[in-house]
Amino acid sequence: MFFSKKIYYVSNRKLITLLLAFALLVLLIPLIINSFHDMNIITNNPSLYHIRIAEDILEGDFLGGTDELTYFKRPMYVSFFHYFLSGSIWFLGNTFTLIVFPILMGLFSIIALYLLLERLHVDKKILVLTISLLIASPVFVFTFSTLNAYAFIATFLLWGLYFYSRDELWGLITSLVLFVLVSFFSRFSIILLLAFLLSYSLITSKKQKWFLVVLFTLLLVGFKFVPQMFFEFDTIQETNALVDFVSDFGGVVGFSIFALVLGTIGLFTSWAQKRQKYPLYLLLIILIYMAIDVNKSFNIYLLFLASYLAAIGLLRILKIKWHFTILRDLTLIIILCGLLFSTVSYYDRLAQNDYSDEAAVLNWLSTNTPEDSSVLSHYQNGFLIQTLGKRKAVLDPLSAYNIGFDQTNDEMNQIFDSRNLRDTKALLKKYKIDYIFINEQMRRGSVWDEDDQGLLFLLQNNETFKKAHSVSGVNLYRVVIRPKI
Amino acid sequence: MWLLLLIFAITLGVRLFFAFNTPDFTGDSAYFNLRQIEHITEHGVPQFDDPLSYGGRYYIFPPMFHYILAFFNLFLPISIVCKVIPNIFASLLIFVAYLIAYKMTEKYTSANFTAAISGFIPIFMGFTINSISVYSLLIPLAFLTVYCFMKLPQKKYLYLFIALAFILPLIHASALLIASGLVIYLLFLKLEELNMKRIEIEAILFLLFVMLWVDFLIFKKAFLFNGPGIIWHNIPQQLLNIGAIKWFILDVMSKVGYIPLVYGIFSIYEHIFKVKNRNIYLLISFAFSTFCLILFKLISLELGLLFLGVIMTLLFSKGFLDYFEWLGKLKWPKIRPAFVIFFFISFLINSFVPSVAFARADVTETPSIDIIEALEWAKENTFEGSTILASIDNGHLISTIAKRKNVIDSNFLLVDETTKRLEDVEIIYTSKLETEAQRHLDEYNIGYIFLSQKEKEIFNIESIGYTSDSRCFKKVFEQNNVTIFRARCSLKVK
Repeated sequence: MFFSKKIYYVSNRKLITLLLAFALLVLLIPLIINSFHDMNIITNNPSLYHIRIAEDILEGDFLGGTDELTYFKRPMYVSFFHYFLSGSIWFLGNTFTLIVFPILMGLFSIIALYLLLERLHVDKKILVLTISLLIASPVFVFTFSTLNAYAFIATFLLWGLYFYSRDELWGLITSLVLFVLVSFFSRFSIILLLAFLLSYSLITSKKQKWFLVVLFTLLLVGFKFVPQMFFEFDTIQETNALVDFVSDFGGVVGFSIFALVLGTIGLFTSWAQKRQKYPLYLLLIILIYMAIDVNKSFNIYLLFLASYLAAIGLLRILKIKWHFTILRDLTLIIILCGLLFSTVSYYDRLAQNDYSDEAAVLNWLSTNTPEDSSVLSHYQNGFLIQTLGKRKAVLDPLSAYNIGFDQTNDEMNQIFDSRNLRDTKALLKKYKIDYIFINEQMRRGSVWDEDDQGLLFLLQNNETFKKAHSVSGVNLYRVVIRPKI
Repeated sequence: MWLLLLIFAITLGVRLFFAFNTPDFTGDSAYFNLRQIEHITEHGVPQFDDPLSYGGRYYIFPPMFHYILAFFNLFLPISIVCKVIPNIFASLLIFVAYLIAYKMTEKYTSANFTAAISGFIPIFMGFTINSISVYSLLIPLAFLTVYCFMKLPQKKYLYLFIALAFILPLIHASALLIASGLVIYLLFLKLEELNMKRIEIEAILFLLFVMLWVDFLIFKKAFLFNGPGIIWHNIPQQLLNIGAIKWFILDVMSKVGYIPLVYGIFSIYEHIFKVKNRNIYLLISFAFSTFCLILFKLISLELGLLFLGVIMTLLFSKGFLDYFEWLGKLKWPKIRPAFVIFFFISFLINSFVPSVAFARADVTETPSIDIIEALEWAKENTFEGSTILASIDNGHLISTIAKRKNVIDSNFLLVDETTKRLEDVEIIYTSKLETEAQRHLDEYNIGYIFLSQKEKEIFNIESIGYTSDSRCFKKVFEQNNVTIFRARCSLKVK
């Protein structure tokens, strides 16, 4: 279809329907895999945090006071997203919000992007390729198959930009409302929004006055009300910029290496029109900088631009009048296989994030232990303990932002590594730890490598550590420290 | 053709003469390849899940070379296969060099002479005679790909090019060097304002995507496990630094061959600034790409020099032609034979003699008979499933000959914290404190310590200090220069 002009005669409705069907298929695959393997529907750690905060809001804690389930008693990091989520849970229930909402956001964002690119008079071939590449990328799968704020920001942003591109007053007002909503998510989203708007205004050379109106409104409203901090993916674990960028290297929100190669070809191809496209390059530089230096979630927004450049690159390859059809066909097959390979291997990685066994143990914890119990585990299990176990976790992925974290982290590592019962008991007592939660991931490298290493050796002491509950390798120990007589 | 066959026979003869000088193989990785070939012959698949390397680990490597040798092993003994077949592969470079040189010069004399030199590139001789080296197949095929690229758009070369694009990454990961060289070639054309032929762009795009894809398929696990570290093959930091120290210009000259290197550099200069020639640009691009990859430590120095050696030799074919054209213009034709004799003598001194020296050195670097005997003793007299500590250079020997677990060897992919492991091994050999060493012995569950001349040289020790007066270490084997200690204690609470 891309070799001929046929695509120009296909109606927009048909194309949108096809693209939506493709997106739906891509987004449903993780769910199908999960249901086949009898896995938990939540495969993403931050989703647990969002759900807990949304449920707290539903229970009446609207302003987000102190987070009682954290050791540091830090303030709750609540954003507009959580209010939105709690409303959805109240209206539609937990399952619908967890599963259907992100997918709906994905589909809405596809429609918005299609309409926006059309309004920008992007060639239809590039338009369809951009959206197809976007849908087939691991970043898209991550953003719209798990519950996260970025899906909402992206969708609102795209619709906002679409309405902004319209000439009617109602369109501009609608866009302003949507932009204000986006700005309520976080301060980063305001920077993102302004970068996109600036780029749009420079490309179209239109609505500079409206840009100023939006700018002042956002500065006025946004900076007054947005929360202090924005939620990140892996907050303690240090990551490498290259890993974050390339999904095949293990990046959670990374791009396929093939998409990056195509994007590079696209960048060189589009360089001939550098005078018209310089705002795009400016936006590209801003987003890459933000993704590397500030928050890797910017990769999600970078995806839209990267897909556009990759589409230009792919179209350039398609447009070459090949000497040999065999070479063309093989190259296209390899590109297709490479793109699919990255996404399929990403599915595989998502499927490894199952915590059904952990959920079973933590459900027991929530019903069979005192409410003020404190649980020690690896920080990555913190949200699990707080959301499913409804108990206090000594460390969680947000602990790194708390004062005194370094000392606590060191002492927790001492507990994990030490084989000295007296020292370990002293530290357990200091942090008032009542339970120790251990899963397979902790045993297989994230904390220990061998079965009798550090705390695992001490856990054999039945006097101090009593196994409270266990489900296929996930163990919960009760700490019994008798006071000195 | 007969001359070419004669050159091939001489080269192969010299190679086999040196290879059969010793019953053993050179280099630790030869024993890794040997074990993989044996495993394929027995089980039909490589041993990806290795219980002996690093005390048990998962391997990732492109297995095509091992499969080819395993195929020959079906009807020939393994020792013959591993000595003869890699040398035949390496000698085939002569034909490829001939074809490329003829394509560039269109003179039989020059092509034949280049073919003769390519059979005696010192570093290529040194690394491929007795090491069961994958490079013996990779290098001729890589340059055959280059030749096919030069011959495009002829259909038979196109099909060969397509086949090689799939085969090369199945032989060695560094086949990507070909793709990077071709991309640089495009940049060169752009810089020199030469037109890019459509077929060249198509072929490069195809090769780039195929190699990326096949490499990603093979190394998927390693990409996820080692992340960007895979680019440096997860080599410990200490070893990366050693590679840099060894980078001496004289060393390079002797390994590549003085005449090809000097003329190659001159040719690069001449063609960048004076004469425009697409084929030469192609080779210059490869030289540039190889040089950059060595500089950023993205390929090993040895592999880089192997490629550089062949590239410089090919560039030399043009030099040979220029030299004889110059001789033809001499005002005193009587002195012409003297120049010809001088030329051949300097070739003998600068290429043939160093090659023979490298070949001899390669053969003498096989593990000593003492080491082999000690490892065979270990196979019979140590506990099955136990771990023997040795230096990185003897790691594969431990698992191949003694059939025991090693602590470290030269295959680093999918291994966690290689730098720390290497440090720990050094601590065990050099520490003065028994408890410090014991802690690491416990960590890696080491039952025996192997001490040969190699360990003594690497760690600069004469003996392991704490073993002399300790009840925890018993000398269980001592012969000539090799000692094996049994570690009998543990800090672990039983």
